[in-house]
Amino acid sequence: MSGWDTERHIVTDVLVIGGGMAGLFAAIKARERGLDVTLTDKAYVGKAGSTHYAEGDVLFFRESRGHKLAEWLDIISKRCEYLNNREWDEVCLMEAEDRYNDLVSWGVQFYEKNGELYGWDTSAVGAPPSAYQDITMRARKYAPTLRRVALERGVRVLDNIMMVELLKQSGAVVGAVGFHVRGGRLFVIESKATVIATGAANFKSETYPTHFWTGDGEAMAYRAGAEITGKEFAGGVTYSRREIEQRQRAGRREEFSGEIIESSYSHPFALGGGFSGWYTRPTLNAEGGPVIMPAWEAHCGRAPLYFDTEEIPPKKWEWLREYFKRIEVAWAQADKIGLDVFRGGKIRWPSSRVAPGSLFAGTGIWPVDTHCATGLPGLYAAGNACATRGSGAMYAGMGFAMNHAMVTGARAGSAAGEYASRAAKVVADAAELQRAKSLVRAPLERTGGFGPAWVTQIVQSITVPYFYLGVKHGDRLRAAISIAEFVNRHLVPRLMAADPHEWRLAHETRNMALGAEMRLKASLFRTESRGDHFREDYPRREDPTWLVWVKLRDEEGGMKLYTEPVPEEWWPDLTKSYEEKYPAMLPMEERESSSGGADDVH
Amino acid sequence: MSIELVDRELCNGCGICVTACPLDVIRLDTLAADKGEYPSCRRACPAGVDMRSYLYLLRDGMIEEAMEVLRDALPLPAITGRVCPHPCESECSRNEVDEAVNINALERFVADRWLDEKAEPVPQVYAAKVAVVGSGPAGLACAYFLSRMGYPVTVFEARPVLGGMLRLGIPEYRLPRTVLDTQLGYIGRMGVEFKSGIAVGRDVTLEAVQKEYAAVFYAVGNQSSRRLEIDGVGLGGVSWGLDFLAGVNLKRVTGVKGRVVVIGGGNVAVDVALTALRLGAESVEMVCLESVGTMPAFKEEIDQAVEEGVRIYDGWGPKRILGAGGEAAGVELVRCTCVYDGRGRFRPTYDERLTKTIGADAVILAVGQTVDPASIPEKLKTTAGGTIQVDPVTLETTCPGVFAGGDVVSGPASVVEAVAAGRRASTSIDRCLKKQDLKGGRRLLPKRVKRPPKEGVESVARNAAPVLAAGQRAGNFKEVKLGFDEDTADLEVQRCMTCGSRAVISYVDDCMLCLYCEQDCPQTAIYVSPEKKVLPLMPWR
Repeated sequence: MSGWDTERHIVTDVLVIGGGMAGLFAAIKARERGLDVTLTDKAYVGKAGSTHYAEGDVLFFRESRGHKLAEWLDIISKRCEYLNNREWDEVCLMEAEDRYNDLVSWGVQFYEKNGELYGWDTSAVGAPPSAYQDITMRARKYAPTLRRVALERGVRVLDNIMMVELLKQSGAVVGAVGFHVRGGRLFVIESKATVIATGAANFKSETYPTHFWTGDGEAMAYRAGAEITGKEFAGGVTYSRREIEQRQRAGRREEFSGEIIESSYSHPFALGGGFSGWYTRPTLNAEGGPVIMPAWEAHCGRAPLYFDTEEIPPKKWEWLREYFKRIEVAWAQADKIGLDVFRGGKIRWPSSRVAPGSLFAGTGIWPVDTHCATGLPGLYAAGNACATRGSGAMYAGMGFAMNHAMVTGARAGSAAGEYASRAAKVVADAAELQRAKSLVRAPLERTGGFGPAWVTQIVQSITVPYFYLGVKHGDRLRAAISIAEFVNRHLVPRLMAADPHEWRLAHETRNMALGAEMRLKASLFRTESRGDHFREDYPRREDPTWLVWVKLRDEEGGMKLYTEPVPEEWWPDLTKSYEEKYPAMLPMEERESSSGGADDVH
Repeated sequence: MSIELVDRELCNGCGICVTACPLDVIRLDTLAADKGEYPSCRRACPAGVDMRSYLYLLRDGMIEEAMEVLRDALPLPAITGRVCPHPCESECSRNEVDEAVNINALERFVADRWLDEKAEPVPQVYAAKVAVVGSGPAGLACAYFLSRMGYPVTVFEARPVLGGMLRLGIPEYRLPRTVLDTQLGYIGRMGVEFKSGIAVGRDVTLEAVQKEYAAVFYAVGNQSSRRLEIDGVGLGGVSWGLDFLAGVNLKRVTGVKGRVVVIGGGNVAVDVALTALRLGAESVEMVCLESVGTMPAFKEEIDQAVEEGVRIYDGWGPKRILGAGGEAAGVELVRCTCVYDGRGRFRPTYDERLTKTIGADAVILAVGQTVDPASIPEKLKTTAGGTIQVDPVTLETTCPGVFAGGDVVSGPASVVEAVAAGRRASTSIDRCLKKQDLKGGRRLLPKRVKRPPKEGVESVARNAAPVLAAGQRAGNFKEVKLGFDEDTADLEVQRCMTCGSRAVISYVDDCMLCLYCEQDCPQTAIYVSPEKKVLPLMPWR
């Protein structure tokens, strides 16, 4: 095969890995500085990244509309249970309008009603008028628009390229090595600066359609020496009706024994009846994402559950119907399985948010400043791969992640561009190139070992069932950790692939196995409950001991966990009562009906 | 839920589902062999190159596989990738949306990356030997395909050098000789034997050849310039287009002086004009009967000539060549009022009242090429036009076991048409040697796929192949049209609409129920089952 390099070698100024909202923003902003920019995604840029989560809602803070920063920040802190980074929150809120203006200038369309931008307005459910507001883009339309903008401006867009390993030289990140997930061609991209925007880290659980989120960026950054944080926060533990039915049919009764109605978007449910009315305080963080309560109720044998929305007045019903219809894909799914979402005063939602997700804007690579630098020279992180801790211990609410993706994307792109403009050219030496390439190729070259599908099932079996990362307990976590460590030490080094398709799966499995170990260990490390991290053996928030962030990094091949304190000025007023500081209730806290907790379940 | 069906009847191969899937569930079947249809590009290609397949492979970075697709239809892809008139692009469905995919540049992109490849000798599986007369594109193609099948093939070439018109006719700035030599070398390494300096009919009789070889393919091309009987053609300084080009290409002509007038409006005339310019002509002027817009030369060639400073007198015919002291001194032109008659035949009419005289130190007549009657053995019947008479499907001549194709049959045509003829003949020869029916099942042209709807296809500008700046072309024969780089090829290949291919479920294990494929399919051809498939625990491997 002379005359044709089986590998493609690209030299660029800024490499952006991941082509969702954050990655596209980063690429466009870096390109605006006149640099050579390469954007890769393991799927098709312009379609990838526009997931069911990214349905188009954007948090929209505008001082000109009377939004008050201090008020918003306090709401966020309370919801995020004081682990949010207020500096980042402020940055994201203050730049929301600029990013909105960018999008509008690029031709992205937003829903309008009566000439006004239209989105979720919390006043509809009785929140203070100046509180959260978000606006909505046309889902599935904005990403193609941004692809066109990136191409028109001369960004080198490479579809179907999975980046696997960062190139390092003299301590700096100088590019990455990956491959074409269909054609199997090796891609070596040398860059002065690299932005990781690969989204969140999940485990391909059966009903949640984000199977491409395997924490690839987080894993490669961790291996390169970056710090990771927020892994103990589940970012949602709810289950779909379909999944439960199917699991019953498959004879897996140990997980659930009934119907649990999921709460993908919790605003309406916060007011609802049903099981959430059993508690004296709100069980669902008013704006927060799905929480562990349904899992707990099932854990105690009280399923089936539903969210009773009969208390919602008719006018708001109408508003809700309209609102839900904008979530196009999820709506289509409901339609597909013949589900009347609004049947009988109960909201049934098929697009489940299955544990363990990632806490958006909370989990991922630790940025050392508010410009998305990771602490490794030349490496930046954006979007859900960047743990700004904007969300603290619990997702802050609708449109927050999208706002965060835009702001961190733009900032990472600018900062990486700035770095690339002044960085001395460092090139990976032959040994480093060889190391990275053989690591990437390894699964293809092994002649014996394990298939990725099989290893993935094992990883899922210690992460997806609610009793590991939903309702947690030290005993179960330790058991799962011993399996995770075995998987990482014994199975992962023997992953093998027969073709490019399996090659991608092998690397995804490798990343998920690492992610599982991170999650389980961080969950065991935090010996309290907070946000959507719930420990049966430590069921309450512990102030001020755990007003800290749990970080982890690779230390001589071992996973080292340690903490970094939250600045005191961001702490809650410790003189206040527990209920005042934490209006949202955790499982095992008092209940109106005294049907008791779970017996002998761990 | 998982994807269960892509309806092959409804699917139009647009590929939207392939990009909509965030994973790897759906890929395109670009062969769609069960459909028995060609996309319009492939249908327009005389050689029947499967553009849809190789462009799709290229899109996925599978350039090795893309090259295999080219090799299946083209013996000289690096050459056709440069000089092909690309009829495929004229038919490209993308024309309905914005502009055709630059298929020609992509062909060259793929082929150039394999230029240095050394062919492995093809094992010979048959004893029957085949002779090919003429080493132009038709002969080379026939030899290439027969050699691939396992026949021992010998190519006879009358000239001392190989390549026929590829070497003698096409100027080096359009086809660098290193490219030609490597492509010839590739065919040589496959096992084809070349015997140059042997003219069949002059040095050895056709009968003698037939005694040693079981079949003969006759492809000697059009080696003569069409003569124009006007006053002054015998003057010094007057030459004929093909002779001039051959002289230059064989380095016999190394310079041109003074003002050059080229008569003719075809590709050879343009080649002559641009060659004369490079050899130091003070000025080059072209005279042609047609208007610039209807000249037979390809538009991009004409544009290049104008760009390089060639003046074109269009709508004029040569009345006579004026001389002084036995040397050409000028050309008297007469206004051409009409080139073709009502039935489309070449029958120019002139307005004798309108004349014009232009000065010239050299006049080169390039008004067409014809078969050299001396190059055709007597036992092969010819047509009124002097070309060899053959069966249009099998290319068999009136003499059994002797086949003919290329310009010697068709008259002046493109390289790709010659290649197609060579391939057609190779199929006939294979059947002939196996005593099979020569004609059976050889449809002349398959059906065309339904053109995909242009609605919803985003307009993306065509990427033109870069060219050497006009200022850098003077006085040298550096290649003018340059190749794509990988970035441009990446962008251009995505413009292919993969007309008429079919989406197929390839890796259902990736399906994560997002429904994007079903929602985005404009044909409602995709069905995702609402029932989730729970797979049993898999074995470890």
